[in-house]
Amino acid sequence: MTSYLGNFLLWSSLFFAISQFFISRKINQQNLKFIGVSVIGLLISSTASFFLLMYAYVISDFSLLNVFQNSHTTKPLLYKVSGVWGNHEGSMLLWILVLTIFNYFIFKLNSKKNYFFILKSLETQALITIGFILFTVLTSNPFERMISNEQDGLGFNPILQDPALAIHPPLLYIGYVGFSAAFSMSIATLKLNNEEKILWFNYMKPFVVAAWSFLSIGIALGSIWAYYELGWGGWWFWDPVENASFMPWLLGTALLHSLIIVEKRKSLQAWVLFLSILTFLLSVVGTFLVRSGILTSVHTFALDPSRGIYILIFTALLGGYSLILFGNNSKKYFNKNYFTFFSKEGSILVNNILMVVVCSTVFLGTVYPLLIEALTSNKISVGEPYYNSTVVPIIMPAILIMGIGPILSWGKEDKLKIFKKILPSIFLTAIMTMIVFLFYQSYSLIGVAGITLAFWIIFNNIMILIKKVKNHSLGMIVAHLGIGLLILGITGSSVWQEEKISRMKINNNVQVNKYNIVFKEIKEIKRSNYLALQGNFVVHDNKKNIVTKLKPENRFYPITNIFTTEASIHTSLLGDLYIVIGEGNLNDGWVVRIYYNPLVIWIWIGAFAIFAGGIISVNSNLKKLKNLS
Amino acid sequence: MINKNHISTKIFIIVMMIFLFLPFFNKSYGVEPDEVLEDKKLELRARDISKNIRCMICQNQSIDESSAPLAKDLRIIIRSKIKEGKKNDEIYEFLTDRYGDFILLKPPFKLTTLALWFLPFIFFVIGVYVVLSHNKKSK
Repeated sequence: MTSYLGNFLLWSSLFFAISQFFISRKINQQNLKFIGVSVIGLLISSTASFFLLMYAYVISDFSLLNVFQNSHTTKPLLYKVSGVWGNHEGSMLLWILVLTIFNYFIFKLNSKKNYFFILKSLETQALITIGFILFTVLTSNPFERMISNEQDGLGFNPILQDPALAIHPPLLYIGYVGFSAAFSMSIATLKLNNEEKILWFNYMKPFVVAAWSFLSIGIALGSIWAYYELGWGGWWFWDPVENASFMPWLLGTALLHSLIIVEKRKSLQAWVLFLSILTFLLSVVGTFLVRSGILTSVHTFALDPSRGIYILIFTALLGGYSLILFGNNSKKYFNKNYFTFFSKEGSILVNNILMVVVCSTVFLGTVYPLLIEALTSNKISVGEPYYNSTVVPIIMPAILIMGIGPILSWGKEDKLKIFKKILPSIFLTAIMTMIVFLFYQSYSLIGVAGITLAFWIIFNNIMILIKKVKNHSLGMIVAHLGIGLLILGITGSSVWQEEKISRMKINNNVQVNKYNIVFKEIKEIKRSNYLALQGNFVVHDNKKNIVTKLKPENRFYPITNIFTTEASIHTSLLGDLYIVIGEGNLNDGWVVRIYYNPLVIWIWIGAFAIFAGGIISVNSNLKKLKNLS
Repeated sequence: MINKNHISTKIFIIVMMIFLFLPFFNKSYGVEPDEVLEDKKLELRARDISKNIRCMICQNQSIDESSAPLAKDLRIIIRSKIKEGKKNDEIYEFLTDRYGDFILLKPPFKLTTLALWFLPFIFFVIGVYVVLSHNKKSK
């Protein structure tokens, strides 16, 4: 029953998407009414199919193969719900849902003045939607029927059972898919006649900023998950799947900044059109890399070549079509514009270029092992050390310029004037950096550079707030402050991490940083879906006051037969005390890993500030758009 | 009458006993205390090397982070080589002779990796060129 209904909803989504495509090809104002039916029909069908699957998960309807393979009756409700997108087939439904929501938002922008542009955007959007619905129906149907009658499911990888990871995919998908709107609008713009004039960039900008903000917070939540769940205090591993989300983020960053130049100066239009095509293509390529299973990586849970080939062909068609269109039609958007280096647009241009260079480098590192393996019989690894020695030096000048960019004026600026403007922040940055280093008593080149850059960003933005610079954008300042805090956290946690690995018996104690940690007891606990050994550690500070009790766990999930470690973390503004308990027994003691990770909390605070800044900016951009029409 | 709860409690206790007295595998941590070298400088060298060595049977983990038996073996081999007075290069060579370049997380400079190492630099130079060609002063 569920299977029939689900398939019916998928096919009706496909029907509405196809009808949207054909209606949108006739450009006249009357068509807006007809296309409204398709857009809303599509939205309703995809929403219904998504929630139908969710309902099947919640009531553990094992007549669906997908639910049987990925769920279990004892699973907590939150993870039953998030189980919908925790697997490949279900996540495609989510992808389609987000696609149709953005489709609806584009439709809602229609008016007498812009209907030709909206219709053209909806045409491309319909094509993308058709592509993904077909993909789902043909290769990854979540509504496939279960042949046998089963009482219970196979369960769900417990390492993925985490609140941060539960909401990580939806946020990431809003990011990826949000760029589809920019893509469709870019195609629409390229198809415009010479008589059709529209401020297309004003329509594109809120979508780009929204997609970018959600992509940022989605990536951050993935890192939070890794930090809390994987159990060795790391939060970024340059894993190919992480790179797949980081690359669109880098291009998205370039895109949203160059949109500002287009808005203010009307230059760089061709570049923005190109960049918005590339950003969405990279999002789809990211999906290809993840879903095809050609990467050996912790995140891969699909190993079916037919899927990979479908997405590869789809991406090739989409890419070929859009890039040829760009080649043929972009001429009128090219204009020779020269900038002075010391101006707002100059600084944005430099950052744009650097983001693209970083993105190309990450792309190179991600696909190079695949190329080498395909061309020669050798296998190589490209891991963290490669990215640290290539990406970090390129990104540093970008951050340096990012601090000063917002202060510069459009057009041209006197160098002496600039110097006077930034003098206070140079002074404050120097002082704060010195204080930090006196506090930590440890000096490394990368540490000095990181801390200096972090405060450089922070103080420059605070100065803008204090001086009430005209026309500053609050969203921009909040997001830039977020980047400053993020860099502070990244530097602190990677340069000053302390680690103590020891075998501890009951009542032993160790000293880490300013904490004295006593291993009090170990006990067994039982929860509905796992059994665990739980250690109890009492943490004292220098003055022998009890700071906190930490209870790291070693869990065993009998259904999936998987062991996991659950770190226990004491968080403060200065740093996290992070305890993981490992293998051991009563006689010899247990392996206990204790990390002191300085300033980690600022990474998450920074990421949330970036998101908040983005949302503020979406809001102000939507207001601007309303005033237009 | 046998209480159902009672049975599950018993099973639970038995499973837990197995837990307590049999060391078990765990996915997500590396170095163990009995491997650690006494000389802190040597240990630091061993850690630096291990961070650059891929755990061959894991997915994108260094042997420093992995608890797989093979990773543990390699960590111990690296430490014994260091104690023998071998240089870092000799240890890397020993490992790549057996496992190939795949084991190095930082790919070596070679003919096949030339593009990997030089392209980022070339991207950067192209970037600088684009910026300069858009600079008013240069016109």
